[in-house]
Amino acid sequence: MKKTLTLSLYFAAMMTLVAPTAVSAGGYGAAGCGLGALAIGTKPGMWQVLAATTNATFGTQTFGITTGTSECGSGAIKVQAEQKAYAYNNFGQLQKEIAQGRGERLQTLAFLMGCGAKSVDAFGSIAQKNYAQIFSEKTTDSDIMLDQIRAAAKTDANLSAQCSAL
Amino acid sequence: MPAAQLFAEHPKVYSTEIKHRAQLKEIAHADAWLRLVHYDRFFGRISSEARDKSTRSFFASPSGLTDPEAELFATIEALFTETTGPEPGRCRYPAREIYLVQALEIDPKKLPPVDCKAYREWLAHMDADSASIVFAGFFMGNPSSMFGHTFLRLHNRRGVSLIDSSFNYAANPTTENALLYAWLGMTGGFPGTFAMHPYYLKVNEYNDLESRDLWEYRMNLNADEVRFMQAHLWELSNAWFPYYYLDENCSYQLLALLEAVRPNKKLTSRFSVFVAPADTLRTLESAGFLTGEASYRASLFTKLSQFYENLTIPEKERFAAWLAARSEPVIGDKSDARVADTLLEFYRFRNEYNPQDWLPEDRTHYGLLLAARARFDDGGEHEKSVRLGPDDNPLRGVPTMQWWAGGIYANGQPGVTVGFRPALRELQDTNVGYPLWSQIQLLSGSVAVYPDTNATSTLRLEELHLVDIMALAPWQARVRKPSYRLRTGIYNHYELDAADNRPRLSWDSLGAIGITLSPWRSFGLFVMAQSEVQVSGTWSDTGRLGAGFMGGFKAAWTAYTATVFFAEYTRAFFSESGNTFFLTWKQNFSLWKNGAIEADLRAAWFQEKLSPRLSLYAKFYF
Repeated sequence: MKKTLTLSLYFAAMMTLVAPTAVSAGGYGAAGCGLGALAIGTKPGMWQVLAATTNATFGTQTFGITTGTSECGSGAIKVQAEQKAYAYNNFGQLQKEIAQGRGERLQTLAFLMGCGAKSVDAFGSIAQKNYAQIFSEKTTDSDIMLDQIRAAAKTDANLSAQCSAL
Repeated sequence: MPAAQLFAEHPKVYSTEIKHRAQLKEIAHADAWLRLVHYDRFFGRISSEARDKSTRSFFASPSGLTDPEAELFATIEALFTETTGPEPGRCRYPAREIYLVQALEIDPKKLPPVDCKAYREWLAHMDADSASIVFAGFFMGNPSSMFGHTFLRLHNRRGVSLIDSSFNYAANPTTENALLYAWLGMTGGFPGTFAMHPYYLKVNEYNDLESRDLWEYRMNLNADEVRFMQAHLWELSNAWFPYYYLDENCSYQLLALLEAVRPNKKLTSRFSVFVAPADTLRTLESAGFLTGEASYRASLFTKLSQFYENLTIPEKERFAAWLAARSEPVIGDKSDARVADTLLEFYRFRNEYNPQDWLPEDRTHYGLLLAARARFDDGGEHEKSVRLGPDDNPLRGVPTMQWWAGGIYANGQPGVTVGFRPALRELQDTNVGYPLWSQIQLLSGSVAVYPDTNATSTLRLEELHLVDIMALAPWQARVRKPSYRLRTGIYNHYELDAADNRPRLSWDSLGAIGITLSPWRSFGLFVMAQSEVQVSGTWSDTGRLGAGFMGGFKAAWTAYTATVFFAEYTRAFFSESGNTFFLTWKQNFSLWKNGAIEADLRAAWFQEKLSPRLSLYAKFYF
């Protein structure tokens, strides 16, 4: 009897191993414009793909969240909201690419700041040169990072002229 | 204006005329209509696979689930008469409208004028004119992702990839209990929905969080087809589908979506047991959906391991020194920058995605490295060195189903054997398009016939794997992850009392964990601690509990030739059955497209007796 019990317990443990141990993060909240991100906060510590707990909140209404411009207003406000959403969700990648002075995340940010194709490389170099200011101790969230990047780009006359949404 | 014309202008009257036209043209049973509402015929019964998200959000008719004609008439009615409310008919059914206007020659001017603001803004937000299908590589860390994943990406006109829109079909799990999760996932217990995300979120999720390579295949949909697909996705945002992990999964629903876009193509089959994401790429290729243009985004781990491999010996030494010292380095040349970049990826891979969960000392050093790195501009050469080759392209892999036939020799008797595997691969199979270090078998089995034996027991079950997973994780680029093996199924044990010819079936479950060392790229040595439980009347005490070790190697001599060899020793506990020692050797030669010759030798030492089994067979991937 005892042996049978041990066996079945062992078997149960085995089956549990075989069954999925982690639930897929398939349905995390979205960010487009308007944005789950703004509802959640902008702390860099939270730029993570939202975990399973937020599935219920956002998973079923992702189309609604990303229906575009209506939640973000229009014009400059919309552009800023897009920049914020992007910076929030790519904080860590942007920090690394700014240190390296290049990368696709950084190019995309340049685009969102309205920089033309010719000024993308210059945008990367300026950001890299100002890394210490952009990521100082005062940079506690992605909004501050954005402000610092904007400030750095504005110090450069060419970038100020070529980037329409700084 | 004559009275008759006035009368004809009334939307009610015009929509009645359209319904007559639809009846005459038998639109309700046209493929295009059936696919737009996701009807499926199974043994003569017709029913939609879609479900309303809220009352009549997807279906226009209360009987729409099983009645295509009622749904068609209700849709026509909705298009013409539902002009108020938050979502007028035309705004809810933009794809049905496009199709019906064309199929029934509806005069667009006679449709009621409505402004679909939300839909219009949604389209403007995407600004898309072309589409790709994206494949996220096999991920051994999570069983629901082991077969890969596919999703849709719509390209914006401005050519800025990361802000493209992606559409992902996934289950919305309602439980975190692993067993319940597996059961509900297999039986349609979770609702599946399409979700829309900016592409950068998917890139972050797959490349950075789960470390999976992404492969992007451009589709040849024209602008009208892309618009129609968007219109249909909009309709689907009001629907959900029962999610079946094995067949009606992410890949199936993507194919169903594309079938609605091109109704003359048949991409899905109600009778397939398993729809593997990688197979859908091949399905789309052969149905003419792909342009042939493929690109990839290397995962964090791919990047790290290639960065590390590209370092010279002195650079690797510097890498180790910086890692040990954890001080702020001076980056003075491109060589230093290469070391720093490799170390940055190393820290990112070793730690969680979220920096607040990092080891504090790693986070501190990472910050110092970034600050030092920002003072040197290297021209980005290291990044450009990351390459995936054609042999890594999942589209180039063999199909995921296999059957095989050949000769077998066991217990001194020759026989013939046939086997079938719905998915996915064994370790020795060709690794073109597949990960080199993993094996996943689901519901795979083989039988054998021994002409010499008594007529009563000539056909024997050799083995039936329910699940058989081996995930080797070579220690490379200073990353140390465990390798593991899990297997459960029914196996014929020749080693048991071989004098008698009856089959010796036993239900075996096995788990092992250990390490893999890879002294060079295509060779791995592994050793694992292993335990097993075996249940059968043929063991004494109807069961055997064993624990011990297994170890061996995999060598991929070429992309098409591999050897797997391992030895297993387990000691029996709480049982009289005794210790077992097995040697397994498998040799695969993938000699032609979608086929291979394989030799398989298994020798068992049990109760001081040696029982060898040798088989040689041809294997066909389909």
